[in-house]
Amino acid sequence: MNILELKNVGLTYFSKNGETKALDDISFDVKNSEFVSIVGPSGCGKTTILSLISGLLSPTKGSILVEGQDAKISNKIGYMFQKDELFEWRTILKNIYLGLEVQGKLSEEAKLRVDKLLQKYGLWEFRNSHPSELSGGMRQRAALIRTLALQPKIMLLDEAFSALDYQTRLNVVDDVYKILREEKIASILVTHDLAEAISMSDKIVVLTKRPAIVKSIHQVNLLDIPTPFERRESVESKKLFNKIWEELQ
Amino acid sequence: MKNVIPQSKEYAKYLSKAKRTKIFIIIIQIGILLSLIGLWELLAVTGAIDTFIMSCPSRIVTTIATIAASGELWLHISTTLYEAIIGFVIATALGTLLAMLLWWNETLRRILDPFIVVLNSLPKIALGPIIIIWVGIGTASIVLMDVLIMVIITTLTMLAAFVNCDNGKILLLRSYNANKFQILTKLIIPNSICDFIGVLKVNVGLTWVGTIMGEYLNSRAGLGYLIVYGGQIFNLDLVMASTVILCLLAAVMYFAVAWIEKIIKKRYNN
Ligand SMILES: Nc1ncnc2c1ncn2[C@@H]1O[C@H](COP(=O)(O)OP(=O)(O)OP(=O)(O)O)[C@@H](O)[C@H]1O
Ligand SMILES: [Mg+2]
Repeated sequence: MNILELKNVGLTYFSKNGETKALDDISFDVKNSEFVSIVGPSGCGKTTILSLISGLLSPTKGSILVEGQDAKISNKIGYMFQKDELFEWRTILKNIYLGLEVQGKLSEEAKLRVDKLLQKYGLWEFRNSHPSELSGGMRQRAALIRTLALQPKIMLLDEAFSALDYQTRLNVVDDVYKILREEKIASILVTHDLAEAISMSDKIVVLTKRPAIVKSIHQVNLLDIPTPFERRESVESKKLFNKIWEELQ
Repeated sequence: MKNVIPQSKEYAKYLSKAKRTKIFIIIIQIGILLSLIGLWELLAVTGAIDTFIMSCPSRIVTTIATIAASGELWLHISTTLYEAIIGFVIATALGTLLAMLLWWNETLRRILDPFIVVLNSLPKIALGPIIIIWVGIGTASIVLMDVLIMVIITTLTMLAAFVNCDNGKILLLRSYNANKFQILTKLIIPNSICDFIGVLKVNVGLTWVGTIMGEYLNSRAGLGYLIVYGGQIFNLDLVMASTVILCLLAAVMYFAVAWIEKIIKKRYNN
C-alpha cells in the first residue's frame, strides 16, 4: 500500500529577482513504513520536495497524495529539521507538547503517550530540564519525540543529523532508525551523506541538478543487517555507494 | 535559582571569595558616596565654595525637611511619580502593541515605515507648544509628552525583535499548521522577552526625561516644577533638593524594573 504518492510534481519559485524552476517533474511513491532517502546535487530541490509533502508549499503542477488525500490538508506528516528548533524558554516536556498544544490535542491520553516515549527513549530524567542542559544528540532525540507525539504516518528528515559531530551522528542515526522502525513510520530522509542514506533506507531516489527530475530509483536490500552502523560496512552497501556516486558526477 | 550545596573545600573557598568581593564593592561604593557628600559639606563649611550657587548637603536636607513640614513634599513627589509611571506603562504597552500590529501586517509595516522613521528622528520637545494647544495644560499634556518620547523607539525596538525571529522556528510551527496568532503567542512574544526587558530598562530612564520635560513646559506641581521654580527665584537649595529626590526616585524605579526582570526571567528561565 502506498502511503504517499507524488505524480509529475513541479514547482517554480517566484520572487522579485525572477522565477526559479526548482522541480521539473518528480514522481515516486512511498509504501507503508518504508524508509526512503532523497539524494542529489546541492540546490537541486530536495528541501523543496519535503516542503511540498508537508504542505508548507503547494505544487505548481502535479499532485501529492497522502493516503489518497491532498497533502495540503493532511496532518499526518511530521517534519524534522536540520536544527532541533527546541524553544529555550520551554522545558523539554513543554517543548514536546508544542505541536499537541498548537493542534489542540493535548489530552491526558497524549500526555501519557509522551511520558512513555520519554521513558522509552531515555529522556525521562531530563523532562524538566531546558534544552541548553542537553547534549546535541539528546536534543535531536527530544525533537524526534516532539514530532512522534503527534503520531505522524510519515516522517520527513531534512539533514536532521548534520548539525551533530560524526561520533554522535552515527549513534543518533542508529537510535532514530530504531525508533522509526519500531513505531512503523514511513520516512523520507534528505541527506548529503550518501553512505548514511544507503545505511538507513529501503529505497533511494536520485535527483538530477535543478530543475530536478528523478534520475533513478534504487532498491536497497540490507534488511538482514540490523543497524545502520553495521550496514555501512557491508559489501552490498559499498557497491551501491559506488554506483550512485557515479550517477551523481 | 537552584540551591547550590558546597561540595568541596575549593568550592566553599570560591564561594566565600565571591562573597567577599561583592561586599568589598558595596563598601567602596558607599565610601565614594559618603566622601563626596562629606567633601562637599566640608568645602561649604570652610567657605571654599559659595553655597548660594553650589548649595550643600546640610542645606539640601534642611530644604527637604522644610518642604516636608509644609506638607507639600508628598504632593510634588506623587505628582511626578504618577506622571512618570503612567507615561512609562502607556508608552511601553502601546509601543509593544503597535509593534505586534506591524509584525502582523507586512503591508501596513511597509506603508508606515517612512512615517515612523521621521517621527523617531523628530525632537519631541519641538511638539511642546502643539501639545499644549491641543490637549491643554496639566497632567494630560505632561503624560503625552512623556509617551511621545518613548513610544516610537519602543515600537521600533520591539518590531525589530519580532521580525528577527528565527525562520526555522516559524517553519516548525507552520509545519504543525499553526495560525498566525499561535505563532505570535507561542514563539514571537516569548522569543522577544530579552528585548522587552531591554526596552523596560531604557524606558525607565526615558520616562524621567519625558516627565521632567513635560513639567518644564507647564506644571503647577511636581519635581520638575520645583526645579524650574527654584531656578527662577535663584534658590539653588530647592533645585538641588529636587534633583536629589529625583535621583532617589529614579533609583527606586530602576530597581523595581530589575525586580520585574527577575520575575520574567524566572518564568522563562533564561
Ligand atoms: N523561497 C525561495 N524563493 C526562491 N527560490 C528558492 C526558495 N527556496 C529555494 N529556492 C531555490 O530553489 C532551489 C532548490 O532549493 P532547495 O532548498 O529545495 O534545494 P536543496 O536541494 O534542499 O539544497 P541543499 O542541498 O543545499 O539543501 C535552489 O536553487 C534555491 O535557490
Ligand atoms: Mg536543503
